[in-house]
Amino acid sequence: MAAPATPQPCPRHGAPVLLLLLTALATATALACRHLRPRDATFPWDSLQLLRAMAPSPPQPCHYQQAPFFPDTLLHTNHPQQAADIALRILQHLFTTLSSPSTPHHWDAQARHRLLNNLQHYKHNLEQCVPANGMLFQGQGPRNLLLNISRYFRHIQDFLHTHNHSACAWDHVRLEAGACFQHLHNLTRTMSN
Amino acid sequence: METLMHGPMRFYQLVYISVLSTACCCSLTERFLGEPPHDLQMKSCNFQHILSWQAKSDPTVPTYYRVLYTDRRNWKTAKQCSNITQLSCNLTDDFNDTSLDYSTLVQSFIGTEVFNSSVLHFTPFTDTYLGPPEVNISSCLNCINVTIKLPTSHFRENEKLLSLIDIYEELDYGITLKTLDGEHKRPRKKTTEEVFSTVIEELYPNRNYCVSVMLTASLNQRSIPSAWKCITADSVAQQDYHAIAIVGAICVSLLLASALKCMHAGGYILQDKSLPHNLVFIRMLAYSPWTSESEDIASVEIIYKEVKKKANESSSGVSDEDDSDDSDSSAISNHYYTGRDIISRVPRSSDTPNVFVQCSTDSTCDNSGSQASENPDADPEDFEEHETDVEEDKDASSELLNPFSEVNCNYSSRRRNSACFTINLKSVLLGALEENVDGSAALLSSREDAIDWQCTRAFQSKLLGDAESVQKPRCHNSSHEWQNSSCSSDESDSSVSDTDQKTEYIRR
Repeated sequence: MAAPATPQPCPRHGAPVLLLLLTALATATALACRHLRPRDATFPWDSLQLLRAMAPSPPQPCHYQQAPFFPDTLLHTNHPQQAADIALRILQHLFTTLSSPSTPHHWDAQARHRLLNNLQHYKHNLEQCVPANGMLFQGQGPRNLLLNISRYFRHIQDFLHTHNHSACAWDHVRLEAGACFQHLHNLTRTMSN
Repeated sequence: METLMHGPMRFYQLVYISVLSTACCCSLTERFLGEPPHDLQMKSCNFQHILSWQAKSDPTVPTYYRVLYTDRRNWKTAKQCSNITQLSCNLTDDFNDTSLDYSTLVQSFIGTEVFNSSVLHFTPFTDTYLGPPEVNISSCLNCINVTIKLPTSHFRENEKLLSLIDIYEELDYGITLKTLDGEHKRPRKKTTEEVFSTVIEELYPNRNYCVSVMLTASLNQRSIPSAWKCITADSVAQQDYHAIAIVGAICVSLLLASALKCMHAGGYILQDKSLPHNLVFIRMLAYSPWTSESEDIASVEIIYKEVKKKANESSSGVSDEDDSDDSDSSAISNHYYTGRDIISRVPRSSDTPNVFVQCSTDSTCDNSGSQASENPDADPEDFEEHETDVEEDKDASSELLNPFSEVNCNYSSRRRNSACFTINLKSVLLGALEENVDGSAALLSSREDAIDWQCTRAFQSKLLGDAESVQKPRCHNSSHEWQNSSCSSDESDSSVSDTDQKTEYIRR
């Protein structure tokens, strides 16, 4: 005959403990963002070089009508965790845009492939620092910034569609990708503070 | 049949040839006008941007250029590059946002034709070259100390010049070490300062190392390295040698200083001996415009005797007398004596040195005249005589300017059978005296030429037995006053009754 099982206590006092554990885990992972791999320190510069190697500038100047530009509001953040969250969102959108099948055919395929690999590696390392949905920072401003980032990349998709994915339109997107890598560098430095 | 076939063929050939010639002519015409600017290059260093291009144009036709740029929003004309003729343009002040991507092109205006160049893309933040930095190195024990100074940036924000640290917030610097074995790149380090130092340690002593530094940023790896600077790493022995050299130099300096001090104390160098006032005047007289006659000099020993009291008594005695001794009274006023008689004269000797009798300035000399005036018993006539004698003596005093002249005394003969004579010290010779003369003669040596002096009163030297005092002859010159000691030492000899206490006698 089996001994009667000891009744388990009600887990009403376990929620705060769990929350404390998650906080500690998030803090530990946030500290991990300060110690990115040495390869990641040159990620912005390497990405810029690959952008230039991938897509040479058109010989004739392009006239950009209602072209989207990177929002300057994303630059002003001093919180390391917030900076990491923003950086992660930018990397995800860049990867999606540059991996589109509608990229110009005259672009260098090898340089594009290397650029996409670097994006994937850096994004993977950054995901170790930031939770998937950033739930720890709800209501503290990051959601608005994330919305702002999503709106910006949606505008880029609309711009490409409006200009029929022309060479000039893709050249503008290429230049905006370069601006994104510059801002990623600043966000990385904020994460290291 | 063949003729009909050749006709249309020739027509087609003619048409073809004309079309070709027309095309050739048109192309030739374009070549002569010019070509669009090409080969655009942006030379940027520390945010100073210089755009240059190449162009071919007809030299007979003027060509003007204009530089346009855009930040992907608006096209603008470069501030200093409109209607220019040179093939370069400074865009430093036009690119006022370091992070923007600028597109630049050049337009050429040849006559009425406009040619556009290709577009050059440039992002200052990532495309400008950084450096070279200023590098200074110094050697230390098995190490090298490297001091690095960042180059100056040309970027302005709100009229304020920003530094590279202001723009990039953080820079990386890499040091390359070169030896005979090869080059070694040290790990990059970060800096946030304009001037900073670093030490390269664990080096081999007495080995030559060359250092070069390059600056980079996270988003800008374009760099101009500094020039190589070479130095030898110090060793322990080398540092000891330096210390020994420094200590040795200090010791030698101290020894030299002490030697100089001893020599100065011993009077071998830097003698600071100034002549007495009297001798300075005598030196001045030596350079007088008058020529001097070389004369034989003789050594004279003069015995001085302090006879001030007697001089006072004798002076008072003279004043009481109506027919006082003129020479005595005159001597009182003008310190001159009238020789009564030539007692004796020693032949001159060329071997004898010049006689120089010093007379130190004494209050008695100055008060000689006043003493006479203060004497209430002095006869006014005596003063007249004094004045007369003074005048006479003054005439003679002019001859004192020539120290070597002998002045004849032209005074009237005295009642007491006195004689007026001029005594030249140089001719004074002391020897056996006519009267009882005891004592010793003091030898007076002259430093400079002897000074002639005129005596208006006869001398009667009296050598005292103790020879403790010396009777100094009294004379007068422009700068000296003689200290008189006695007027008359022998009261019995009234002929030499020089009662002036300042008179001195040379007993002959």
